[in-house]
Amino acid sequence: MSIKSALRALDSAIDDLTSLHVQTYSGSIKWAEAWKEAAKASDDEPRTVTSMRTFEGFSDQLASDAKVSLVADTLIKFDGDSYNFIAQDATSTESALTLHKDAVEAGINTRLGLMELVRDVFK
Amino acid sequence: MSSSKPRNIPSYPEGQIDGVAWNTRDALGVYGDFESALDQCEAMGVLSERPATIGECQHTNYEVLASAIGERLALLGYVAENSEQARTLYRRNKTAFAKAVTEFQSGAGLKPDGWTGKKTWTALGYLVNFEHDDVDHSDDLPAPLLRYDPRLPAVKRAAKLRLRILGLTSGRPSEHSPGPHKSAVKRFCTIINDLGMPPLESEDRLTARAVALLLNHDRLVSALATVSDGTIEKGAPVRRKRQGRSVTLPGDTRKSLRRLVIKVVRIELWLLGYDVDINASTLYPVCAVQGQRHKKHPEKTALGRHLAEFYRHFMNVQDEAEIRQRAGKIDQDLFRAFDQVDQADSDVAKGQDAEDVYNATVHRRFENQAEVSKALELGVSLGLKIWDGMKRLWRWIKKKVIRVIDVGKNIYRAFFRYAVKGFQIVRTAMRAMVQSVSTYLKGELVFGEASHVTPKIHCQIKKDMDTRILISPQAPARLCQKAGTGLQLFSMRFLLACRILSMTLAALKASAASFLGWALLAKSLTHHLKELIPLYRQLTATEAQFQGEPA
Repeated sequence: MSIKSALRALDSAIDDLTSLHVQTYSGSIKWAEAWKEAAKASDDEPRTVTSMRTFEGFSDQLASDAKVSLVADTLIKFDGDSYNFIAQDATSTESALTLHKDAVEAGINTRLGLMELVRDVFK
Repeated sequence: MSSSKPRNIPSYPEGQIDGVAWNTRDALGVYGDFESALDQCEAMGVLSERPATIGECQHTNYEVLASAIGERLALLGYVAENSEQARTLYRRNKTAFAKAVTEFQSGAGLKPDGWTGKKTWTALGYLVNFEHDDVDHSDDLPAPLLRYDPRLPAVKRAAKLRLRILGLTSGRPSEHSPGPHKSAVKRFCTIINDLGMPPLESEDRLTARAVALLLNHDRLVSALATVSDGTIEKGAPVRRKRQGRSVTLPGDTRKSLRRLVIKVVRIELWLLGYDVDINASTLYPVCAVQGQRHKKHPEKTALGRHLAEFYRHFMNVQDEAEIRQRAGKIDQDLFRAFDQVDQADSDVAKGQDAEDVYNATVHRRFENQAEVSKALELGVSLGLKIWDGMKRLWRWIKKKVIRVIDVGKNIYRAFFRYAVKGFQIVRTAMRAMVQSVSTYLKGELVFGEASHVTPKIHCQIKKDMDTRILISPQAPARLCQKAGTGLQLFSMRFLLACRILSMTLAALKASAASFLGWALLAKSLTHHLKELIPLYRQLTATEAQFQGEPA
């Protein structure tokens, strides 16, 4: 991975830097089985290919799969507003919520790194 | 040099000594001829044998010293010869000379070894000389001799000699009669007491104080100068009180007083450098003796002429009439003048002490092997001290230089360690950057299974860092914890990667500039490295935590 390709990927992602959205689910989905089949068919980076492809259709998968439930949802806006959801009837455990919290924190730090990089590039 | 001229004296080529010969002939050859001629003359007896060793030189010098020693020993009666004969005793009979020296040493409380060293010579001078310098003899002389203990035979002999010189006894010290007769002692003590000097303890026996007064001429002159005013001028009283009774002084006491006073005056003038015969007539007007009148023409006698010269030169009296009047008699003023001159000489001598000590130390000739050895030891000791000081100085310089080198080494080590640390940080940061960028581009993190088919925790990361996490019902709590740590690790790596990317961009921008740009680059690197260090430490700790957590 070269710096050039990283910058290109960064450029494509920078459009949605105004908000940070973290969702945590619990359960199993069918695309995992498809992912398994794809892995069998080809060993050429199955996870990357599969995940990149399935990320966009993740919500649809969730809707059709009753075994997956939302544990927590966090949305942090650019202006500082944040929205947090924790399911009441979820079978989530404390460890799942901790993982969600870590993910939010990691997202914030990563976003901070991106912002600093942008600042230094244009300084 | 022999007085008789032997035959067949080898001729020396005199013409070759001139400058021309020296310039035209080998100098060593000429010197060899001279040496050869000397050897031949020596072999034929023309030249006396030259001293071959230092010991022989000292032996020759000792002969000169021995003549003075023999004279003093004769004065003290250790040699039964007159002074002139005693001068040659050492050359004539060394055994007798050594025996006399040994006897004197025993009598003076010295070690009887028969050799006249410094101590024996000092003791002889202490007992025979009229004047004693102010040098402290406590190191050279035994204490009894220093305080004139009259029990010492040598002190008794010296006292008898001095009484004879002062005209108070006729006998000279000898083997059979070493000490003074009681009558002579009594005569001296009576005079001292009659003149009103500090009284002696006893008039019948010789005491240490009486001997000290006898042997130290300056002390006797000082005592005569400090008697009651008019005592000598008016003469000692014919009648005086003794033990509460008024008695008449015997006539011989008055004669003795006159002789003593005149002898003291003669000795003092002799010590002042006048050619005075100490043993000459003792007939001269002394005011201490009743019936003596002033000489109207003192210049007609030798003593009168010397006294006139003394007043003229030492007392600066210019009036000839006054000189004649003062020289015509011996009175208390004369002793006061003597004492004044002695004090002045003493002051001058004290003022010259430092110079004398210097001369004695620096210019003194070593007289025996012991002094040579002592001087050698002193020189060696001084040399060792100097060498030791130089070694200390060298050690000090070496220590300082080593310290400076150590400081330089430490600075270099610190710089090297800092550079290595910086390189390590940069290397770790680059690795973290690669990993984080790889994860970022891959868009997912998977935890819980070696196989990628059925992950227990699946994190999907979008380019804008939006995240979705799917936790499998089979995922244990510790796996959730590990996944959280993994997300944070990714975040830190990404942050570090961004900063390194920023630093690299700054470096690229700076490298495009000139020397100033490089300076700015250095400043930028330093600035960013400061920021990277805490992040690096946090990253390292998180990595360790992530590796330590169970899958």
